[in-house]
Amino acid sequence: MNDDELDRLVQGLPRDMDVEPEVQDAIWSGVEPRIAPSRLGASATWGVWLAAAGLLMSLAGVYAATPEPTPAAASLVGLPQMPSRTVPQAGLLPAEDDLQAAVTDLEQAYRTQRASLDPALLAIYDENLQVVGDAIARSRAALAQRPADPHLQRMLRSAYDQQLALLSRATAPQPGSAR
Amino acid sequence: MIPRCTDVVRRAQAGDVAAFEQLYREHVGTVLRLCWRLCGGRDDDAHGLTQEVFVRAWERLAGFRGDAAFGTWLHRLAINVVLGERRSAQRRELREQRAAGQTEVGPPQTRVDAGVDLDKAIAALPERARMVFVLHAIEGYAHAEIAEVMGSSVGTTKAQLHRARALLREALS
Repeated sequence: MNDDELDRLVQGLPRDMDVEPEVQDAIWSGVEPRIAPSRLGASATWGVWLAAAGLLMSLAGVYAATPEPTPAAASLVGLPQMPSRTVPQAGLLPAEDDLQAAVTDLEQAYRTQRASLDPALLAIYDENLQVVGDAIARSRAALAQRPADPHLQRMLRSAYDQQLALLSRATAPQPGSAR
Repeated sequence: MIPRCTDVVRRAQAGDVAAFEQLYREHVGTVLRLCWRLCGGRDDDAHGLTQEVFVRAWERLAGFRGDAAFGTWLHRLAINVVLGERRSAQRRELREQRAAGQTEVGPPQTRVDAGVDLDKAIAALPERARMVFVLHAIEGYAHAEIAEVMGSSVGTTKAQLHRARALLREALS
């Protein structure tokens, strides 16, 4: 066989393969369990975190003092804005002021851009932002009682990261759409 | 202009697993074929790598900005996942060989009776030659790109391609 014949054979190779539905399902069955827990809207992870925060607060005897979701989260999802005992919120994390300022800026952008987002997409963002807002509120309440607890600090930090990631994604320019 | 960041992609980016499954169904054939070729035609390995590619895609979906088509982005990610997994496996094998007191890297991959068809002959190539051949001759990557993702030099990838072609010509004659 010479080079030209080899090249012709290579050009005829298929780029994809027909994957039987049952094989697709089998492969997907190894994917879904690994991604579903990180899905914010129905997040088992968040459920565990919230439960953990609730348990810690119960142990401290302060569960009844758990604040409602942050005003920002409530306003984002169209809930009545609740008066808050934590605004302005004292820093419970290093540079928490900076985090809150970034969140505030992005929330403002999100409110401005809501009308331009697809309603179905908007509902997903709202749902996930509410979950994250609740997690931040409850983590802050627990951390206020146990300010040196490193687990609670990590939980709060991670919740802020999730909130910033979601808001950044929601407010990013949408490629393929009119600008 | 064809929109590169579709509504389905945007919903998946917002955390919609059903939308991501739709993307998976659309692209699994291409990803599976690529993984299958790169790993030497081993079905179990190809399935595992395909799963890893889509898990990684989910994790990194936020970083997809639509500069290229989603399929192109996924394709590049798949190559990085396969090569990354292969490097990890090689490190494990090397540690095990050292622990066992061996000094030589294991024998090249088992050869099959090439000549049946091109895909089988490609699967029978030595690993690095196979990867370079698949990426360059089939997937159309430039030597510089291949050298970058494989952590080698352009000269090395050209030599591997030359070797692969020679072995394939011989196997298919």
